Amino acid sequence: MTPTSEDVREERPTTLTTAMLSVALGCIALVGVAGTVGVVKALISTDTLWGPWASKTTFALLVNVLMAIVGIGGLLWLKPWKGSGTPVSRATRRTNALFALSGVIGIPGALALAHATTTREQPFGIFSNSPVSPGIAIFAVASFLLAMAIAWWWYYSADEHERKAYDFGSLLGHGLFITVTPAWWIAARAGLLPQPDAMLLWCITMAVISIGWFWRRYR
Amino acid sequence: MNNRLKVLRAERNWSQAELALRLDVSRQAVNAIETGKHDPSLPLAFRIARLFQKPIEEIFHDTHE
Repeated sequence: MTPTSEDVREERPTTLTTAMLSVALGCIALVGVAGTVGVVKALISTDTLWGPWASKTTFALLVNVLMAIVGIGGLLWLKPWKGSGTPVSRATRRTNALFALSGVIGIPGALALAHATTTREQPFGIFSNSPVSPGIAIFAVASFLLAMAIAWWWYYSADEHERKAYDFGSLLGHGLFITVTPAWWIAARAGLLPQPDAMLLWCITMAVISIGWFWRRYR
Repeated sequence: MNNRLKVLRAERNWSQAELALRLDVSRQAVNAIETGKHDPSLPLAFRIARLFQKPIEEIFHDTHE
């Protein structure tokens, strides 16, 4: 008898929630670890590791440690690297490896930035617009360029379904960026909003790209 | 566009992952094609046709026809 659609062995693909949660937990863990390292470094450099701490410093340390625990603990619980145990194609293995590599590149970058920007007076310095040394800036720019090269490699290694999903997310991010940036700029000139913040725009754009990409991939 | 990918896969008792492995795409791609959420490109459609040894029009049907 010819099997029908219902007879087919179905598998439970990675869900949108799992994918989004994994990326979010990875970002939280990275920011938490980098922030903790930055605050501890600031305390050591001022010889106040064992106190006394300003309330702002204590708060920053608590928030960062909590983020690191939630991020790392969540990833250990979710185990996104475990997969379903079924064989995957060569192309999928390659794209997964490149995706992981881009995350690994982000770790030293975030740690270096936290180390260079966090001070006792500015425990959340990593998120500020305070000046950084040329060495740190050159290191960061080099890591951005490397990440871009890996992203292109990933894009041309991915299968067409993945590429289409990424294109969709990118289109959403592009639309948001080219609309929100001039709107914020003109609103700031009219005194309606504070000056545009490039990194905030970048973070929002990246979040929108990721949401659109993963929604399209796992829907 | 409708397709018979799921049925053809069932005839060979392949899982989505096994078919993805043979086509060198992700399991999500096979799932998206089967559920009609992604129309494959011509090169992939030809790869699918070659794998199942059938003409493309026996696997994919234009819903506008």
